[in-house]
Amino acid sequence: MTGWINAAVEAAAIVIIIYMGSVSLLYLGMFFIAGPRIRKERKLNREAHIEEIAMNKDTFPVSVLVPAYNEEVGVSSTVRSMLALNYPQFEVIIIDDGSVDETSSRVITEFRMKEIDLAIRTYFPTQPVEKAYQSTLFPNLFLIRKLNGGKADALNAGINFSKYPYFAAIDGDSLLDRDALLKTMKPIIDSNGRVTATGGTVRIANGSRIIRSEVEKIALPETPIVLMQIIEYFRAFLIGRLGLSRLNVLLIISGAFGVFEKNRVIKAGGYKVNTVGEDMELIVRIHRSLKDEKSDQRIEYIQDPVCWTEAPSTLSSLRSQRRRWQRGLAETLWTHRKMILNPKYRGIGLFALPYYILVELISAIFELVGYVIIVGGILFAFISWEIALIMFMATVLYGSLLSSLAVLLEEWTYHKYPDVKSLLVLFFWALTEAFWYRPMTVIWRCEGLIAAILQKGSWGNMQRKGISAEKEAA
Amino acid sequence: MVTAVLWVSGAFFMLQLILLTAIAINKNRSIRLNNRKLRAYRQALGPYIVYLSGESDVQPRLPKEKEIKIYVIEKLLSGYSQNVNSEAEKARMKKTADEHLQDHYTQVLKKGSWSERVNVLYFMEDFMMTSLKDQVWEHIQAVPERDEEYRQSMRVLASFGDERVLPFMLHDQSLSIGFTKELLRRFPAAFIDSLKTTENLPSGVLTAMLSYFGETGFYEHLPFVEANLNSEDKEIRLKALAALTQYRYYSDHDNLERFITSSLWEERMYGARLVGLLNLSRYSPQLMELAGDGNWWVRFAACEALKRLPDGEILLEFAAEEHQDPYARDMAKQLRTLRTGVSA
Repeated sequence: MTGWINAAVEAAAIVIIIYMGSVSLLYLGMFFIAGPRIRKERKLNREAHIEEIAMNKDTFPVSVLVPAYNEEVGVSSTVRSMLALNYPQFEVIIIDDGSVDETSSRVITEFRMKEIDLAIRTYFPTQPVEKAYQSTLFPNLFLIRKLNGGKADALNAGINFSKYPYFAAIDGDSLLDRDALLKTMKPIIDSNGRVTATGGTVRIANGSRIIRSEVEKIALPETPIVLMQIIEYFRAFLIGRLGLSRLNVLLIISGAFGVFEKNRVIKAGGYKVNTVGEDMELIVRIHRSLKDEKSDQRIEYIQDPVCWTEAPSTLSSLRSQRRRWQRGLAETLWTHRKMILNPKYRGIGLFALPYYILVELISAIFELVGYVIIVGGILFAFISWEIALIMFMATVLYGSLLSSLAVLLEEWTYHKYPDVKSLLVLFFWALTEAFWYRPMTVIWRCEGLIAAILQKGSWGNMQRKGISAEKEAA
Repeated sequence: MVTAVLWVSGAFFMLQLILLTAIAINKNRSIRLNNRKLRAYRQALGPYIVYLSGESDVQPRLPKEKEIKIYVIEKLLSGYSQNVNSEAEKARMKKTADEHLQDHYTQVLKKGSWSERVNVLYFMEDFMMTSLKDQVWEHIQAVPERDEEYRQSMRVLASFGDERVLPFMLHDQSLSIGFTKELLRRFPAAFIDSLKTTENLPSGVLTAMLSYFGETGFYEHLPFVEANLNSEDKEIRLKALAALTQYRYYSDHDNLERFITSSLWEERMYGARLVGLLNLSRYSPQLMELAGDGNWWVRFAACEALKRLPDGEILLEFAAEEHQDPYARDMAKQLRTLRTGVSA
C-alpha cells in the first residue's frame, strides 16, 4: 500500500516538475519576445517622442473616469494629479459610488464645486445618479454622486456622463505621471484609431517621495512584502504583458489605468457589474467583439511607467487582493469559456486564454501541491531526495530566478532606481521569493479559486494610507 | 537527471549573477558619467546663452570628450530652441548645431540604433539643420517600417520645405489625417497653395487640409472650405462644416437651413453650432426644435447654441420649463447650470 502511495506521489511530483519547467520556459520565451521591443526603445528620447501630440489640436480629447468608494484619504491628491496632466483637452469625472465617508464633501469643498442639472445619456443602465457637480475653479472637473453599485457600475455611469470619444479609467488611489495620457494615447493617434485600447505600466509608489501629487523621487519601501510586490509587477508588466501585447493577445489592461475608445466599449456592452474582475472581463469581451466583427483593431500595452499605485502593505489586505484577483480571473475565464481553444478567436482562443488557465489560474494548485510534496517528502521521505531536489530547483527557477531576471530587465531598460544599492536590494529579495512570498500568495490564490467555485466570499477593502502621505524617502 | 537539473539551474543563476555584476558596474559608471555630463552642461550654459543670443561672438569651449560634448550641445540647443525668436538667433543656433552635430548625426543615421536615429531626427528638426536635408531624404527611402522613424523623417523634410516629401503624403494611404495635418503645419505657404489646386486629392489629404484651414483661421482659405460644403462625400462636408465653426464665419447664412434640417445628425449638430457661434437669432425656432432631437449630441449643440443667442437665457428657461419634449427639458436644464467652452 505504502509503495503504491509513494509511486503516486512520485508521479505527481514528475507532472509538477514538467509543468513548472514548461511554464518557466514559456516565461523565458516571453522574455525573448518582449526583450527586442524594450531594447529597441531603450534610448528613445521620451519627451521629444510625445512633444508633437502634446501641442497638437488633433489629439483626441479624453474623459478621465475616477471611480471612488470611500477614498476620502487619497481622492484629493488623485484629482490634483489628474488636473495636472499634460494633455491638450480632457475632462476629469470623479464618480462617488455611494461612499459613506467624506469622499464627496472633500472634493466639493476643495475644488469649489457647484451642483449642475443632468441630462445623461444612458448607454448602460446603472444605479441612479443622484447629483452632479462641476468645479468653479476647473470647468473640466466634474463629480457625480450615485448609489453604490460597485466599481464597474461606477465606470459605466462615468461613461454615460462623459462627453469625449475616448476615456481613461483610473483607480481612485492612483497617481498618473504628467505625460501619462499622452504616452498612452500615442499608439491610438499614431495608428489612426486602429488601436482601440491601451494600457500602461503600473508601478508601486510606496516608498517613493511624492510631492504635490507627483512622484518626485523613486525609492524603495522598507517592508519586504511591498518590495516583493514591486518585483512581481516588474515581472508581470515587463515580461508578461509586453510579451502578450506583442503577440496581440493581451487580455488584461490594469484597472489602475487604461485608455479605451468609448464606442468600442459601448459596442462590447460596457463593464460587467457582477464580477470582481471587471477590467479583464471587459478586455476579453472587446477581443470577442473585434473578432466577431472581423475588425483589425488592436489592444496595445506601452511599457513606459505611467501610473503609480499604492500596494497593500499588510498581509490581510494583500490576501484580500490576491483572493479577489484570482476569483476575478476564474469568473472571466468561465464567462468566456466558449472562446477557449476556439479557432475563430485565433490567438486569444488558442493561446491567450489557455495560457491564463494554465499559467495564471491553476498554477496555484500545482505549486501548492509541489510545496506539500517537497516539505512532506523531506519530512516523511515519501519521495526520493532526487525528486524532492529537482522539484525544489524547479520551484526556485519558476519563482526566484525569473523574478530576479525581471529586476535586471527593469534596470537594463528604465533604471529608475537612483543607486546601485536599490538594484542589489531588489535582486536579493527577488531571489528569496520562492522561500516565503510565493508559498503565501499561492495559498491565497487557492482560496480565491475555491471561493470562485463556491461563488462566495467577502472581499473586503484595502485600508489605504494614501500614497501622497507615504513616508518620504531619504 | 539531478546533476543536469543542478547544472541548468546553477548556470542560470550564475548567468544572472554575471548580468547583475555587469549591470551594477555599468550603472555605477553611468551615474558618474551623468554627473560629469550635468556638471559640463551647467558650466557651458551661461557662456553659451550669451554666445547664442549674439551678445558675444566668441564661441565658448565645449568638453573634449565626444559623448559629453554631444550631450551638452544637444541639451543646450534643445532648451534654447524652445525660446528662440529672431532670425539672427535661429541662424546662430543652426550654425552651432551644424558645426558640432552634423557629422555625428550623419553617422548615426547610417549606423545608429533605431532609438538613436529617431532621437537625432527629432533634434535635426528642432535645430533646423537643413544642411542634412539630403541625408534625411536618402534615409526615408531606406526606412524599413512605417513607424515613428518614417514619420519623423517626413516631418523633418516638411519642416525643411523639401517638396520631395509631397508624393509620400499624397500616395501613402496609411498616413492618418492627424499626421497629414502635422505635415501641413510645417509646409511653406507655396506648397499649400499648390495643393489647393491639385486635382483628385486623396480624401484623407483633403479632409486634413480642411481641418487645418479651420485651425489656422486664415481667410484666404475660406473660399476653398466653403466650396467643399457641396462635396458629395459626407466626411468632406462635415470637415468643412467643422472648419467653419472654427472660423466662426460663413458667408451664406441662408444655406444653414440645409444643414440644420439634414437627415445626418452630424450635419444638424454642426449646423446648430454654427447658428450659435454666428448669433443668428432668426434660427431660434429651429434650434428650439433641435433641442428635442433624437440624438443627444444634436440636443446638446442646440441648447448650447440657444445659450449663445442674445436672448439665450430666456430661451433656455422656456425650453427647460415648457418644451414638449422631456429630453429637451433635461438638456436645457443642464445647459442652464453647466459652464461650457467652445465645442467646435
